[in-house]
Amino acid sequence: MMSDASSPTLRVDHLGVQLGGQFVLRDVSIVVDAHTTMAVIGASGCGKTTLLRAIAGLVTPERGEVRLGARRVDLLPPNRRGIVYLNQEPLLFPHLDLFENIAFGLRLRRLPERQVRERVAEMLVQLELDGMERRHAHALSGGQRQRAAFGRALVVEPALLLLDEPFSNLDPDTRTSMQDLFKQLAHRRGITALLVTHDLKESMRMGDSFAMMRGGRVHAYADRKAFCADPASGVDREAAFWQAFASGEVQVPRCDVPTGDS
Amino acid sequence: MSRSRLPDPWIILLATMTAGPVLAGLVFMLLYSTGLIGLLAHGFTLRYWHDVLDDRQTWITLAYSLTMGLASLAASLVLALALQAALGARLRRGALRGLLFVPLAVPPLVAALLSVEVLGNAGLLARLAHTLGWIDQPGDFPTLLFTPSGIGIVLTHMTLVTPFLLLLLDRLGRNARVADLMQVARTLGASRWQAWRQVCLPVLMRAGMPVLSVYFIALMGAFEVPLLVGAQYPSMVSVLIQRRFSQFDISTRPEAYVLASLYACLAMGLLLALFAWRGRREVGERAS
Amino acid sequence: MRRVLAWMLSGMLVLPLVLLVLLSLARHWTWPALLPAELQVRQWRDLFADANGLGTVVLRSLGMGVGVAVVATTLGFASSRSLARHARKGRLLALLHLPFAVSPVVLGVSLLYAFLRLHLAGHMLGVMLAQLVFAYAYAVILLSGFWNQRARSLEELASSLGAGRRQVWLHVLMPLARPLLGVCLFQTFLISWFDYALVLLIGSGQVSTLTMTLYQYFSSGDIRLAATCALLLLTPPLLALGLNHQLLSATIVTRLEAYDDE
Repeated sequence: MMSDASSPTLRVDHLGVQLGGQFVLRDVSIVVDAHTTMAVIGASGCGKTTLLRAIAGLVTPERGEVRLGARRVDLLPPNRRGIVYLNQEPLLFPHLDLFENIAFGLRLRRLPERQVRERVAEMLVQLELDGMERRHAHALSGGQRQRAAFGRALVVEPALLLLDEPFSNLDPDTRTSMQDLFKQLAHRRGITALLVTHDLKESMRMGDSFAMMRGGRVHAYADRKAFCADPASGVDREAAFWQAFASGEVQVPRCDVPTGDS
Repeated sequence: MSRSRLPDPWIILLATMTAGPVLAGLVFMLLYSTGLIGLLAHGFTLRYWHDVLDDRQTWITLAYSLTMGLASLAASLVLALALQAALGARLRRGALRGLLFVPLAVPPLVAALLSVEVLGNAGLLARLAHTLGWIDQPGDFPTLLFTPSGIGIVLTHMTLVTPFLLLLLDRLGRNARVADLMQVARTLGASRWQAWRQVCLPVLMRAGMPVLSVYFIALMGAFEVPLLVGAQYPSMVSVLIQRRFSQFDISTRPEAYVLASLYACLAMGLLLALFAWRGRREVGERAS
Repeated sequence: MRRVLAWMLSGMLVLPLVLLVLLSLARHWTWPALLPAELQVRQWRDLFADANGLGTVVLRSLGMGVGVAVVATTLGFASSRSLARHARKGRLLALLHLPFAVSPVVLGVSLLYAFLRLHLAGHMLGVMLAQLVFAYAYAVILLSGFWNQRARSLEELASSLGAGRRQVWLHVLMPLARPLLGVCLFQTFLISWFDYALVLLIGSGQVSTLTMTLYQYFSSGDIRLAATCALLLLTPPLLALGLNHQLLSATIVTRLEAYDDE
């Protein structure tokens, strides 16, 4: 039922998803190598969330196949795929305290109590949330909740982790530290992950491979250089702006407000 | 600039027009039932209190009211949860959802009337059974009304309470984002049933507890439904109080007051305990 | 399967109304007939001719209901604002529930003596006052959900823009609260319109409302007229339902919000 000990490769072939009569995903094919993170960038409303939900099994595709390693998972119900979907908002269970939230997936797998305690305790330390086990969601800050939701997903060691703009709700500093935490944990645990975001910087910081989503289709890049080189990705434009700004060349438009003196 | 020390007149009005009459009435009943005031008063006496407290019927009535209230609410809740699980989306939109509001427009008196006409021994269901050849006489149909088991009371309350609960559960579910939470549970490995039982149910119950508890207390004191479809004995407490009170012989008044005071204290105690428990739980969750 | 269940449920929701109509029109409907032998509109014609005095009863009940609704809502709106700002909001809210906890019968029994001394017993006004205890409490609970952060912010904004108190109420708060006030008027009307216990006890049999009449017909075995009264009782709420079922659904929302002070 659950993932292999090692995270396998994700292979999506010709995925098509219809929502409300319209094709949100037309023909999506991507490959995410094992133990790597692919960052998919796209504007809001382009279907990024639908892609993740279809891979997780929360939405039924009209066509296409999804494979994890050698297994074909698109025919399985969401709880048997070994794929965890992390929502944009940290949806912690309000009726459980922090410890039980993180332990939730472990308990479903009927792990012995001692193991559950060990793994949750370890995760809490890594998340810098130790000492707050008994708190409930509403007693935690936004950043703490995000970390907690993260930990809840990682502690079950999924074969594939799907992140849906996971840090967009956070302030810049917290966002940066969360991105670092993700890279740390992903590397340490060898997680395969697919991340969607509209934030260029986030994709650059977190991704090992890159893709762009537009019009229901996904275009994958060979490497980071190709991603930066493609004008459509917007990377070079952004870089050019900051360079020009730093060198003082940027002209800030002035509005004509009569002030009495010119 | 110092703030005015005068209490807000609206708050005074609030207290005097709601809790005021209730408490004043309670005080009056206590005074009357202990013989301190009233037409037949001879001075302080605990006679009436002894009589009522010693009477088995008093305790049976209170226990019966508690049981009926609990049974009515529990049965309605189970039915509402089952319907919600079975019909899900259909209940959220369309004609069926509009129809769910119809029972909210029906008062207990009318619901009881309908119960008599439908569930009674000569009622619609009985006639249906007769037409299908299952029974011959009205007496053959199972007696649902006017029985000590109180089935008629519970069934009638179910017709009133279940639609309200369906709407309540739907609203609570949306507020608490139960659907999203269940999806989280599923990708973490929970089956449909596990997600429902470990996430949906606890979240809904937790969120709904305040409303449900107040509802239960109100159901305990139900009047019209047990009046029309309940048995003569045992009665529910409101029916008994009204019956005792309206007797021609006013010497039984003090006893009616004893019972009413007893019930009022019980109900108010439950209510205040409920609010206190809620307050304490919230404080407890905020601390680490 | 689900469709069958849905249809069954729909049927069960509509059946009571159909049954009441049939009962009110039936002439000979005895065991074991499933349908009435004869239908006649006599009592409906009588109603309009006020042959049984039903017309007067309806008007009286309507008048009482409207009176209670208007007073309860007006007072409730002002009081709920004070409640929302009060430090001991939680305790006051608990206090407001006391009438509902003790039940109308207990309240009626405990207050009758006082009402007799004040010459209010056996009078419409006395019954209305007793009903007002419940209606007013309900109004405050319901309307306290209005005074949330948003309303307060708008109030402060309007004041800072120079609006006087009266203007703030008339031009900002009332329009904003209008839907909720509509719900409140409706629900408090129903508290009086549907009341039986208080009218029975405080009215001492001298105030004849629709509910009293219904019970009298029922206990004397005249099911036809009882059903007619029942249909009359259902008419205002069903009409309101037809026009705007927000009136009923909104109550559930705002009652929840009143309990939710997190």
